[in-house]
Amino acid sequence: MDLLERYLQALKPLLPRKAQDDILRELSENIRCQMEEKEAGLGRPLTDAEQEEVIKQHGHPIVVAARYRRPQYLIGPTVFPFYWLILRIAAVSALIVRFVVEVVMALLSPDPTHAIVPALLAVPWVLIQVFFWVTATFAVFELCSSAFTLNCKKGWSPGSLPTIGAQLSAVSRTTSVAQIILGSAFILWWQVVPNAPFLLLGPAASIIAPAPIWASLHWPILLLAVAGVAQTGVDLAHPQWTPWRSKIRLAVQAADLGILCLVLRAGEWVVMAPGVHDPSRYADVVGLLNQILFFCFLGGLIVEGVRFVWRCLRQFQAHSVTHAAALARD
Amino acid sequence: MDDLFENFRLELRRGCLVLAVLAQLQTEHYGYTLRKTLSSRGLAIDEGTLYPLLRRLESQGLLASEWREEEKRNKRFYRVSPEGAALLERLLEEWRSINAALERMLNQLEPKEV
Repeated sequence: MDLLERYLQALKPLLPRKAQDDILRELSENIRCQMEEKEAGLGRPLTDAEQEEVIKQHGHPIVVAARYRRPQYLIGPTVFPFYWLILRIAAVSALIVRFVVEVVMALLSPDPTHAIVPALLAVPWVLIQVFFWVTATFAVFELCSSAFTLNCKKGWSPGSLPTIGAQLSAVSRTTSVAQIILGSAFILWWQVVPNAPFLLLGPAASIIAPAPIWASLHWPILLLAVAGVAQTGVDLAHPQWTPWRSKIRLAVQAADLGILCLVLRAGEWVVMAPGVHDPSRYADVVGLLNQILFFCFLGGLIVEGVRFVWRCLRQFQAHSVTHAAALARD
Repeated sequence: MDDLFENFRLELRRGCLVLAVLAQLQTEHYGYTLRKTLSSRGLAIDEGTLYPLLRRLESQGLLASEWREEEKRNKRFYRVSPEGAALLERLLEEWRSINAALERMLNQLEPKEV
C-alpha cells in the first residue's frame, strides 16, 4: 500500500483546500476496494506492478485534481479577441517608442555604435512589460465584464434591439473597447508625465525636457482625451450610428485639429533640461529633434485635416440623401 | 475524423451521465458500487469523471451523502436528494421528448435511405 500512500500524498496539495481530506478518503477507499476485488479474483495479494496498474487507471495526480476544481481562466473567450488586438497594438507601439528613445540616446551618447547593443537587448524586456500590464488590465476587465454580462442577461428587452439596417452602420465593439483602453491609458499617462518626464523622454529626460507649450496645452488635451473616451463609451453602449453622433465626432475632430495647429505654431517642443553640464554639446541634438518633431506634427496635421474634410463631405452627402428622400416622400 | 467523433461522443455522454447518476442514486450507493452498477448496465464511467461529478451534484444540493461503516470500512454513501429527484423527473421528461423527436426524424429518413 506504499504506492497508494505516495499517490495520495502527491494528490493532496493539488486538491481544493477545504475538501482535501474528504476527497482523499473517498479516493483511497475506492482504490482499496478495487485492489481487494482484484486480490479476491487472483486469490493472492497484488504485486507492486499490479497495484501500480490499478492506481494508474485513476490518472496522473494533476489531471485528477484538476477535475475537482472549477474551470479557471484570467481572460475568457468573450474578452480574448479584444485582449489579443490590444496586446499586438501595445507591443508594436512600445517597440516604436523604445526605438525612438534609443535612437535619441544613441545620438546623445559619445559613442553611438555602443548604444545599439543595449537597445537590442532591451527589446525582450519591453515585450515582457507590455505583456504583463496588458494581461493584468484585461484580467481586471474580465472580472468587471462578468458582472456586466450578468446584468445584461437580467435587464434586456427585445424592444431595445437595433432597428433593421441599423446594425450595418454600427460602431464595431472591438474598436470601441480598444479605444477606451488606449484612451484611458493615455489619460493616466498624460496626468503623470508632468511630474515624471522620464515616461515621455525615457533616459533622455536628464538632458532634454518638454517645452512650455505642453504645460499650457495640458488641460485642453486632457479634456479632449476625456471627451474621446466618453464618446467611445457611448459607442460601446449604443453602437448604432446616428446623425448626432457624426456631428459630435466632427466637433471633437475639429477641436483636435485646433490643438494640433496650436502645437505646430509653438515651433519648439523640446528644450534643454535645466542643469545640463555642457549645453553647447547638446544644442544641435535639441535643434534636430525639434526639426523632426516639426515634420511629424505637420504630417499629422495634414492627415487629420484631410480626414476631417473627407468626413465633412460624407456628412454633407448623407444629409443631402436624407433630405432628398424626405422630399420624395412628401 | 476519429477525434471529431470522440469530441461529439463525449459531449453527448456528458448530459446523459448526470441523468444516469441521478437515476441510479434513487437507491443508495457508494462510489465504487455505483460505478460498477452503471458499468454493468452499459454505461461505463471512469473514476476521474464519476467522483468529481458526485461532488459537484452534492454541492448543488442534488445529492445527499454520509460517511458510514460497512464491512468494517468507512464509505461515503450517496443518495439523490428531494431537489435532485424533482430535477431528475423534469430532466427525464425533457430527455424522453428529445428522444421521441429524434426517433420521429430518423423514422422519416429511413424510407429514403432504402
